[in-house]
Amino acid sequence: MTPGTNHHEMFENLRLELRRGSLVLAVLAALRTEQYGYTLRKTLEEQGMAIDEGTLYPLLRRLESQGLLLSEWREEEKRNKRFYRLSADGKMILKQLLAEWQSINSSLDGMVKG
Amino acid sequence: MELLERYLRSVKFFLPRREQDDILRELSENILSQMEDKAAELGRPLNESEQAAILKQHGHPFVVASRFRNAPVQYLIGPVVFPFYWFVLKIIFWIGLGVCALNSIVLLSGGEPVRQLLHGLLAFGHVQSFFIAKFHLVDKLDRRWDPRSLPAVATPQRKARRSESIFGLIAGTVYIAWLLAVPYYSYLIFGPAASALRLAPEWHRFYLPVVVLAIAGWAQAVVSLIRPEWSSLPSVTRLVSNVVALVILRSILKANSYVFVFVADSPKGARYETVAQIANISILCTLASVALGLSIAVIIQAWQCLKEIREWIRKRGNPLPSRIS
Repeated sequence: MTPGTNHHEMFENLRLELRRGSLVLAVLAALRTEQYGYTLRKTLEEQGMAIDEGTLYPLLRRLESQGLLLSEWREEEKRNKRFYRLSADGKMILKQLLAEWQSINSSLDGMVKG
Repeated sequence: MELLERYLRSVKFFLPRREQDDILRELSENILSQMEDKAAELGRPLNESEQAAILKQHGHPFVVASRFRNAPVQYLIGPVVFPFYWFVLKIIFWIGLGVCALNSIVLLSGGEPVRQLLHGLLAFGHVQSFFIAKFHLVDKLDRRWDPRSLPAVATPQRKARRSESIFGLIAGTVYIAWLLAVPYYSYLIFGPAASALRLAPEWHRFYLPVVVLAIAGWAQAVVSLIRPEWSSLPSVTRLVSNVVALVILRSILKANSYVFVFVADSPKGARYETVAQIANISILCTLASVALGLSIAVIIQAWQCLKEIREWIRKRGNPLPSRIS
């Protein structure tokens, strides 16, 4: 393995780790507007937060079981789809997480610029 | 659709029973939406390879199902204990290797055959291979699998209902016996008026076709009883026999009279004439009603047969899911 490849792999792993930490925040933020699994994935992808199906769909169910999301089966385009949206608890947690994220952001900003 | 069905069936196998239906419904809708989007983008239905690519992107059924398990993530060792575990494992590995080497020396110096030494090394190798395989299995499973290699969905075979076949057989037997007895015992048609009334000669023309039709229906009931898996047979034979019956009825309806008085010059002749007229009108009305009923039945049965044929052609000629293609 060349040093270049090693460096690239290391960066890729760290990048994934960094993004993984932000996924819940991104999902909760995107679900302020009701969406079903596939459209949510597309929305996240369009916003630059691509997430693979195998991670997103189980994550949605986990967040719902934790009470942060509400889901409802509804017909759209002649097919039943499961739509997710933020619950009251989810809104509160999102608010707190956003504050935390902004705090981390400003701390990092200060460290990088300082 | 077939490939997606196979995929979902495989995922289902690994899912907790309680959540299977809910997870599969959602997963199915999401995959279908993705496939529809792709088809719209290409401007044509997806072929099998394109469908397989989407399914592969979702992951191996085992991996997908394991991600959906609602239980909290379980660790056999746990991140806290893992460094200690790894440290102990390394010590055990070197001790094991040392013991194996010592054992080999003892075996060789004791004059044991090399075969026995190899057995020992093989056993050691098996243990190591097991752990290596365990660490890499899931990763390889997800990368190397092909959705097209998933087991085919065994479609539940439709079967003709046994009770329906038995009923058809009994009713058919009684009907044929009645038909065969009618020429000899007119009482079976006219009851007490049998001594004075007879069927018009026109009926003789239709007698044989009607008997053949009855025997065909009976034979179909026998075949359905022996071969219930030939599920299309009843609908096809019913359609054919109803069309034939309609053709026969059309000819019968053209007849002037169906019943005539056998003893017109007897004292009761005038009364029997009236009975015959009433019987003729009744038979005409009955035949017209039967013709109407049969016509409706033929339309419905023809539509069902057409649907079955279309389904058969679709399954043979087009492997793509109907909702996608």
